[in-house]
Amino acid sequence: MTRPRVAVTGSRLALLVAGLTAVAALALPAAAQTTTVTGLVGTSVSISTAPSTAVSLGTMALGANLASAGTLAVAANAAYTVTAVADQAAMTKWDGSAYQSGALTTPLALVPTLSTGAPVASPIAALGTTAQTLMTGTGITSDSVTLQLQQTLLSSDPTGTYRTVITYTAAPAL
Amino acid sequence: MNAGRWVRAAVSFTATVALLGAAVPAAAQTSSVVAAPSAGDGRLSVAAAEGVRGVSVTPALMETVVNPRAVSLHFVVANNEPFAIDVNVTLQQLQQSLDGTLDYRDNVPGLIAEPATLSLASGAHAPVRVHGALPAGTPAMYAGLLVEPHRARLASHIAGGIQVRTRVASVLLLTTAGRHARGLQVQDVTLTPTDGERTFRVSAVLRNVGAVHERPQGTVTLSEPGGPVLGVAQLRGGVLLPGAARRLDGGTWTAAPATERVVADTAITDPATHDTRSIRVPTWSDDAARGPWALRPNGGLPMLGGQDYGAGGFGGGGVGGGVPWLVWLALALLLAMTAALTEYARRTRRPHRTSTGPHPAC
Repeated sequence: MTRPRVAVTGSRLALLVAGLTAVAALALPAAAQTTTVTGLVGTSVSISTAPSTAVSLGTMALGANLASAGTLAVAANAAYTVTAVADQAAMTKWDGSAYQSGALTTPLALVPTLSTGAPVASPIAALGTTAQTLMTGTGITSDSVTLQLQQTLLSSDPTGTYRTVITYTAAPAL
Repeated sequence: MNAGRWVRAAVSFTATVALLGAAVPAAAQTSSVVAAPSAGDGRLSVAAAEGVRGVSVTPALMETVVNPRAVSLHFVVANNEPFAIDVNVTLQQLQQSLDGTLDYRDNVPGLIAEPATLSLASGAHAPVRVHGALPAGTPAMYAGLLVEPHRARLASHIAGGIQVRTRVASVLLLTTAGRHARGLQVQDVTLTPTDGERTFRVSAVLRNVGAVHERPQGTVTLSEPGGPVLGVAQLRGGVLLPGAARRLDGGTWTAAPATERVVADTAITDPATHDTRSIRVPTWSDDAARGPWALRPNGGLPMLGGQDYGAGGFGGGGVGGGVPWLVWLALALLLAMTAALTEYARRTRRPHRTSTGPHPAC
């Protein structure tokens, strides 16, 4: 007895082709896998070079007394400002551990001299207890300014040891 | 089952697999890595970027709406110095001066920054959290998160000593949800001489008489009294904290030789309604050729309070005020529709009687 032959019709042929195609597709290497990486960049402002931690005017003479206050450099990725404020309206008598009554007549002045990058730096004629803007920048460039302190001494200023504390603050511009 | 059926079954199975394979997109494995600047466990060390030194706090600006009863904000302090450093972390309230300079004074009621001190190795990051609860009824809080490295102190015996501190600040502009009183007031418009011949710098002082910070926008249009427009200055400025006044710069303007008097129409966008309101401020100058020309409203400074729409100020937007007219229109329409529907329902509920004869029961 002969085995019946299997008749492959047109529709069966189409199904067979589709099935073989599916098998071939499954045998091919899997689609490339992707890894999505996201990140968030926040605003950042830093003082990359801080001015001198202490400045001595030495034994002051009548008139203007100058002293280098070092270099202040800012690194930022957004517009920023740097302000300066003193803890006293003017240099005040100091006994080694606390302020005493008596201050110099003329407030301390802060003068930016050289600069690199593209900061806008403004001299502060009278450093006081209210913050004043020393420099601003866009954050596009790394900016720095060289600072000089100037203290004018008058003949009416009494002798003694004087002190003040200057605080520089870098912050984003509002 | 004969061979033909086996073939048909196999073909059907593979065809089904083919259809399914076409219908289901290829499975692509993805993984996302989000590096938020507020993340940080103190143990992560990142090599300092070339050229970047100092201590930084990120984000440097935090402007967000907070839950006043449960404030929780996250920052990252980084040491980019080539040596280990200790830093102090404090939180102080913001104050703003006329030129926009920020000052940091006084503790912030209800909020603290922790930890108060950090020891960071070179290249190390550490998290800082600001948390707490704002005083009841506080619409907003403005503060600076100050990070200050410990530095050598001046020997007290040195004469003429100046000690220097440096710090970086992250500015916090925190508001609470809900409607808050908002208003801006024009206090003066000034034309200040510059180095140029009859060239003036135009500026205007705006005061924030509302309860939350604003970003004022506006223009100053300079005209001859009863005459043509001479120039329009675009006022530029940033954030204006509540209660503060800030001078906004409008660039320069050059007056023609024949111009002696100008009037300034200062148009400011009302922060509550986003309408643009214009306030005309006439001017005079004792010496027209010299200046500066200070333009002030007739009769003195405009009223404070933010509700005056006349002599130089405007405001609104507080609770119960400033409801857009569209809302009233919608309410009126709704009432009319409700009345019409009610009447229709009433009429259709009881059929209309047309018989006028005696009642059948009589």
